Amino acid sequence: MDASKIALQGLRNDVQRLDVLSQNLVNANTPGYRRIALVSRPFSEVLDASRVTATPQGVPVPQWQTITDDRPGVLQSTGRALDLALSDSGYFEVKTPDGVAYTRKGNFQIDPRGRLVTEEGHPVLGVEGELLLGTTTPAIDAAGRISADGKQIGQLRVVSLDLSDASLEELGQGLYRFDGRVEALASERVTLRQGQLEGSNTVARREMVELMATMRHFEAQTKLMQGYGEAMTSAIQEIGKF
Amino acid sequence: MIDALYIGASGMQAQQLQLDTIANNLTNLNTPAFKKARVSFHDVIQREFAERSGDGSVLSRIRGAGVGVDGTMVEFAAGDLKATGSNWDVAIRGDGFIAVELPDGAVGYSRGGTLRAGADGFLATEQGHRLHPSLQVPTDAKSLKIDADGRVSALFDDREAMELGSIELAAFTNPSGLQALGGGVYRPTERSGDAIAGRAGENGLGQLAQGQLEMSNVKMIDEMVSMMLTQRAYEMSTKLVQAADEMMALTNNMRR
Repeated sequence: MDASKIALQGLRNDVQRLDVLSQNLVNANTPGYRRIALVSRPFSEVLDASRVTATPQGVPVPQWQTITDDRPGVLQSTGRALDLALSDSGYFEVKTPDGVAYTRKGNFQIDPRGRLVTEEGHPVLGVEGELLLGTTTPAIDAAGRISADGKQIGQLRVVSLDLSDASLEELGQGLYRFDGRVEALASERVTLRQGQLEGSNTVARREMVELMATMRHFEAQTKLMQGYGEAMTSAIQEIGKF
Repeated sequence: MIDALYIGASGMQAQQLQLDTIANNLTNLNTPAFKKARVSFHDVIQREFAERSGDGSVLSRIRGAGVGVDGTMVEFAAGDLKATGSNWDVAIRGDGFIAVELPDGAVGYSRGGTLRAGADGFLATEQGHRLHPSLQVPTDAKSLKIDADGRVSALFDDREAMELGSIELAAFTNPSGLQALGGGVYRPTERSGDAIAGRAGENGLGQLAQGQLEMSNVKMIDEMVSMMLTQRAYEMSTKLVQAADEMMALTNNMRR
């Protein structure tokens, strides 16, 4: 690999990094947003991948892997009865036309049929299936039990996803698909807060610092390319002199 | 080109809409029966073509595409009631809406306000929307009496009060889905569900409060804090656009 290819890979990585940082930063206020982090792949994987030159366009496999940062975001108090947040780990289960999805974005609503749904209209699942609420102001306790007028009308299903088994696949709109092990979280371990919304878990200052480092790194790569260009120019002009 | 440029732009656009909503809420701080609006954001991603990695497994790359706006939701938290002393002012203490006739014949819903009797005697809102079902006030009536359960009577100087009928209230399974038409009138949509009519004070519906007006439910402190956050978020998005621009400038200047 000559210097120009190395610099080019460096430039590509920086562009990808900038894209990830931007996605995190513009979603710094989006409820339930999980930050994307770039983690370097083990070198053995990169080496193996580069041996197989079967990709038709010759696109090198990126050195970085995007993973979803699963740490909880900051809770904001909204006072709305249907805004729910999980202050610790766990995900709400939601039924979409393409199957089951998981989310931490808890700004739920009631649809015309009286079911508890997400903003996009996907029903939120309870322990026994869809939740039919007769009111827009139910009382929901820390374990997810929903009651109205003193009577219990259901319990929210909160699950824990084993991230060592598989990784979260982002579907957009705060929804995630997960093919790994899913376990219902025991009632004592559910930490639901009614009237609060979980914000994004992006820490703006860290992303900004990362942004500055990426820009300077990019600049350094371009200098490398220029240096290489000059070396080539001298080589052609000097050595080629007859 | 560099996605960050467009991601930053989506951020700027979203915060702009947020600022517009906050501005609208703040200017209506003192509008009777005004319900504040809230913008909801979601993250947007795009799926990319699948790549094959060394061992043959397919990696599908997911690219962030910024932030999107779901739309503005109206929040129907009740505003405070203010006593005005006028017999023509009516507010709803609790849940429920008063049905009114819209110019196109459909039925709209309102949270009350100042009523007046038109030249033909029909009771209508200040904007001229008649109550539905209509109530006609005799021209020589001096004043109106509205009971908590909705019964309306006309009061006279020289004779007994005459009962005119009653104002029924309507409820919705999802009031946030109502479409705001302005002037405190809302139209039902698919998301809100159909109106469920009922008598004031029954089935969770509120009661009518004569002589009171419901104030706006906008809280100035909340909106000011939101505005500060929005400003900073907008600033951050512009920094991203600048960074992407700088990167492209550096790339262009590699070859002099």
